This record gives sequence, structure tokens and C-alpha cells, in this order.
Amino acid sequence: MKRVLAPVLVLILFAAPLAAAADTALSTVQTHVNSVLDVLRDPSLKGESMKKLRQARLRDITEKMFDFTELSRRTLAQNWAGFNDKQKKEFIELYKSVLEDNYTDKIMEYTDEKVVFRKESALSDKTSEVQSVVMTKKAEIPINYRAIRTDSGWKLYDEVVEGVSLVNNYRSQFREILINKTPDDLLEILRKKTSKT
Amino acid sequence: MVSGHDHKMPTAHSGYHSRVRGGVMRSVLGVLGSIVLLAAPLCVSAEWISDTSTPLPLSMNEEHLGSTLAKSDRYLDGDFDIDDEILLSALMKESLQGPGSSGDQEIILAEAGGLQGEETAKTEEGNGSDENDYEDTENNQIADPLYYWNVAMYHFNDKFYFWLMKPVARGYSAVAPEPVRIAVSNFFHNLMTPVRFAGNLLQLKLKNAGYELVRFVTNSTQGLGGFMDVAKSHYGISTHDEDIGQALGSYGIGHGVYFVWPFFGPSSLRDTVGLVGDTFLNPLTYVNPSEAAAGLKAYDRVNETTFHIGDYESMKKAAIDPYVSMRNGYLQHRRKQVEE
Repeated sequence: MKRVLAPVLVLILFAAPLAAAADTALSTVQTHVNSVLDVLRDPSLKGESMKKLRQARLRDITEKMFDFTELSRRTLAQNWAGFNDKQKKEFIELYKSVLEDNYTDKIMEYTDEKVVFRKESALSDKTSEVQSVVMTKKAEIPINYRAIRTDSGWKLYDEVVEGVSLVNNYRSQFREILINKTPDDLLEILRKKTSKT
Repeated sequence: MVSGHDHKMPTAHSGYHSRVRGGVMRSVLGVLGSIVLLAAPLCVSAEWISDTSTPLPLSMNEEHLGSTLAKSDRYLDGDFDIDDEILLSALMKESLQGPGSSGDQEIILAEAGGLQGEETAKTEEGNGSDENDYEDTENNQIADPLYYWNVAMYHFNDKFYFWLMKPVARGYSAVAPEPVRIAVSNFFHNLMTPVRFAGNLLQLKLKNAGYELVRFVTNSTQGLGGFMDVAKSHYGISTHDEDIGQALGSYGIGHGVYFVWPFFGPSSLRDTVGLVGDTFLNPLTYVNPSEAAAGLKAYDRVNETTFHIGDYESMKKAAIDPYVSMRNGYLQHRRKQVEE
């Protein structure tokens, strides 16, 4: 009996830190980014005819990657409280669609640049920032991912490219609009924006 | 590549425009100088007003009071996070200074600019989501009292890019393969060493200033006149991109007001002063005849643009309000550069 237990115990001891390691923000972001790269590198998905399918795949990944409620809440900041539940719900959907349209468009321009993950640093007890660098032939572009620990693992709520935070950038735009306009007006602007693209 | 947005539109620091020729350059400098002189007191007064705790004679409406209460309610309900921290610091400031002195920065900064009314009162929040700087409200704001001029120049630069820069850069990259364009980029980058050297030195970043010197010597000799970046590729010495504007920023000098230059793009009072300094440190400025100098600067700009075709387009497409998005992008980017 002891003979059987010993290897099992050893296994458990070794596996425990491994399991913990798999649950860091860094490894989560890395997994997601790698699956994005897999889609982009997949030869069977190359070409104009496969564009729709490629886009759909990327959309699936972003759905898993981001916490759009958290993202929306942080983007609207103080203005979040001024939205009722129905407006909040619609805002999240529209904002998500604005981001996804541009996100997938942008990363589909990918041309075999290398992505290097640097490190992860805690921002607070439940948020963390993962630092990565995209190496192009000419320059290194720092991209940081901000993630929050949720019940279903780490989820992204912001992306910072060369010091420019996505959430902060949209926040400034929405804030300016909401100075003179109502939440409904803003939703209408977003509706127009998403139906156009 | 994994970016939803990018703000690499030709900025005040990414290149030089092609239309400045000869003596015009000098008069442009003259104009810059007088603008700086004229604007300096404005900047000072803006900082004075937002620094002092003197309550301004602003009529605080009930709506504002209501939202203040709502904010404090949110804080009290235990849902404490970063945004609440920002609010808390704002609330504390408000209670210390009295209503109106910090509650609505929009109004204060616009008053400082000598303008009234909400239409012209545009401000910007910089990096508010970063928990390290939630107290630093001064640094997070920029006044935009010249909003109408800036918007007009934004549209002007937009056309300048789509009608001239982009087609020219496209035509050029069709004949010049990427390795050539990278070599050209290295050459001009190497030539700009004095700007980075001074920028580092002014911030007492002596080690980095030294690296810039070593890079210059290495790349100018082994790198065949600067066309190859052997300092990076063989010796692993990276460049440290600093300029006078960043040095001024590191002294704690704020942006003053936001300003969009025709051709150059987004800038601010502080960064314009920096840009004038950079121009004097740029060896190309002293090329004779001055037409040749302008031509070289224009060539550098076109060459750089070839690497960023699509960046401005995607920023514009992603934005709800491209003007505000660009202003915010500029501020956040410069802020990061200053912090580094």
C-alpha cells in the first residue's frame, strides 16, 4: 500500500504548483494570444475567401479572452451609474461589437511578427498586468494586457499599446459625448457606428 | 499586432513635414518663438488657477451636487476599486477646497484659458485607470481652449495625409524595398543623436546619454555611416528615445494647452517648446542650402510614413470621435515617454 501511495503523493506534490502556475494572468493571456496566432497562421484559413471564417474564429477567442462587462464599466467610469440596466446591457453589446470589428481587422494585418511575453505584475489584489512585446523588423512595440481575476479565470479588461490604454482612450471619447448628451444618444451613436462597419 | 488601436499618426515627434522650405523654416521658427512668448503667461496662469485652493466663482448646480453625492454613495457601498479611488481622491480634494475648485476641471481649465461656456471647455483625462497616479489630477488634464483651431488643423492634417503623404509614401515604398527603407530610417535616426543625447542629459540620465554616444560612434563607423544599426544588432545597445519635450515633462512641467500644428500634428505648449529645441539640435537644420535641408527632412518624413501606413486609418476607424481619440492617444503616449 505504501508503495502505491508514495508515487501518487509525489505526483500530487509536483502537480500542485504546476496547476497553480497554469492559472496566472500571464499564462492565460499567453494561451489566448497563441490561439489567435494559430488562427492567423493556419494555412487552411488563409486567403480572401476564408476571411469570414477567420473573423468568426477570432471573435470566438476574444469572447473568451475579455470580460466585456468589466471593460464597459471601467470605460464609462463615473458615467456607468447614469445608465439603467437595459442601457448598460445594450452598451456592453454595442461597445463589444465596435471593439471586435476593429480588433479583428487590426490583427489580421499580422505578418509573422514575433510576440514575446515579458512578465506579469500585480496592479491590485485581483488585477494584474501582463507585459509583452511585438517584434517587428523595425521596432519593438510594447503591448500590455490588464487582466482581472474572475470566477471563470483571468479575463482581460484593458490593453495598453505603447502607453495608450484602450479603455482610457474610449473613456475620454464617451465622456466628452456624455457632457452634453444622454446615455440614449450615446447608444444611438454606437448603433450607427456598428451598423456601418 | 494584437492591438485594437494604434496612434502612430505622424506626430510632432515622428518626423518633419515636407512643405517647409528654405527661409520659411526660419520664419516658422520665429512664429513659434513668438507664440511661445505670448502663450507662456497663459500657461502660467492656467497652472496657478488649478494649483491654488481659491474657490472660483462658479455656480455649482444641483445636478453636480447630486452626482457628487452619488459618487460618495458608490464609495460607501463597499464596491471599492480603482475608479472609486479616483473618485475618492477627487471627493477629498473637493471637501478640502470647497465645491467648484476641483469638481469640474473642465470649467476651471477653460476659465484659465480665458474662455467661457461648455462648448469651448474641453479637457482630457490622461491615464486615470492607473492606480499609481489617481492623485495626480494636474497631470491627467489638458486644456483645449483652442479647440476650434485644433479641430480645423486636425482636418487639415487628415487631408494632408490622405491626399499627399500616403500616396507619396506608397509610391516610394513601391520602388524602395523594405531593407532600403529600414537603412534610410537608421541613417536619419543616427543623425538625430544630438536630440536624444541632450534629452537624456537634461534628465541626468547619464548612462543612457553615454549609450547614445557609443551608438553614434559605432553606427557611424561600423554601421557604414549609420545605415546599419550594428550597435543594437551586434552589441545589444538599444536607443533611448528622449527629446527636449520629455525632459521638460520630467521637470514636472505640464503640457499647458493642447495644440495641433498643421503638418506636424498633435502637440502642446510644452512639447512645442521642446520641438523648437529639437530643431536646433537637429543637424539637418544646418544643411546648406536650406532647400536641401528641407528636402532631407521631407524625405525622412516620407520614409518613416511608409512604416506606419494603416495606423492612422485604423485609429480613425476604431474611434467614435477621432479628434478626441487622437488627443487622448497623444497625451497617454507622451506621458509614458516622460515616465520612462
